[in-house]
Amino acid sequence: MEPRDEFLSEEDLDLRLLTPAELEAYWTAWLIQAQTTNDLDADVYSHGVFATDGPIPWPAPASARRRSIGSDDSAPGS
Amino acid sequence: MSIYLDLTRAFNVGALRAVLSGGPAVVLHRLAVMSKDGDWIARETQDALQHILAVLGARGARYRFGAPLDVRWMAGGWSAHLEFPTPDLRVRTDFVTRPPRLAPDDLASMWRELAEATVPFLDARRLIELKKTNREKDYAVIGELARLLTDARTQVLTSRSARDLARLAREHPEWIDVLRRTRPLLAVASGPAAELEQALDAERRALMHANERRLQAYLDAAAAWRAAWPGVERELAERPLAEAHRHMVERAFGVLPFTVPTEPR
Repeated sequence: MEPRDEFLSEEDLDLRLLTPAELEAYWTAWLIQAQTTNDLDADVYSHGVFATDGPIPWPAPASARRRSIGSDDSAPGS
Repeated sequence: MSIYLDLTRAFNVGALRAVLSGGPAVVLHRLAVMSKDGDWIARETQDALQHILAVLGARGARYRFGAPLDVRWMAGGWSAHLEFPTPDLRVRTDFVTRPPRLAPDDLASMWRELAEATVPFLDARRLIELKKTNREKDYAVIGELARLLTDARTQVLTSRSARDLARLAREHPEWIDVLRRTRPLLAVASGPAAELEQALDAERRALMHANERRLQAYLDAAAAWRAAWPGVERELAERPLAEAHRHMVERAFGVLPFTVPTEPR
């Protein structure tokens, strides 16, 4: 049997086996778990014309813009 | 319920205004969950964009740096970015009306095809075009998306697998001959595997660099707006989104150009 080029993991592709309700539940659980990296990707854009692998190069210090959602205080910059 | 499905339903109450794309579309194609953010292609009318803003405003959304969600900028290929909190999530919502690498007539067809969809999300072929970014990981997604396609012609044009392309070349030599002008690496699809693999790598690099150039043009055009943004962001703080949007449009006018010269598609 000829090997197959692999792009994504079997775990990823197992989404095909989920019911629509299971998929939504898994997706939501994943999003909740992923919140732990919010501080790391505060200035990152994953979509659109500002999408980069890292933060957009700001002309001013990043500390002026690091601000938690719901907070009026600026968090320490990187 | 998934927040992104919930938002999509709200965006599309009464009319189709927003189609899920990007990471959420990859989820709905049952390939992977890879992205925290919600991505949509929005209908390019002020009514549609105002409806979307109203939905987001009701959730306490605020603008992140980007273009206003306004047809004048969206028509120039800009993107708008907003976010709001829920008790469990930081929800990011990203919008374009003119996604890259989709021709206007193809985009118009998309809106027609999805008019009756319960959950409108981008089909595999068009999503492949959007995923031709400057990020390595997106090419793995393209590889699997291409395997979802049902017609040989489109598979020949999009496959990222040397083995799959070699098989397609054996099974559909007619498409290889016809399409090698559109996709030059097809000239080696029937040859040694190593040569095809190298051609795939080179093609991926060329696509990545092309997208880098496109994005750099937008970043350069946004330089003055980036410089103004810290002050604008402070002015928008605490304002309801509708008011913040009007103010952002006023501030962006004359600072963020409506259009940006980019390479032809």
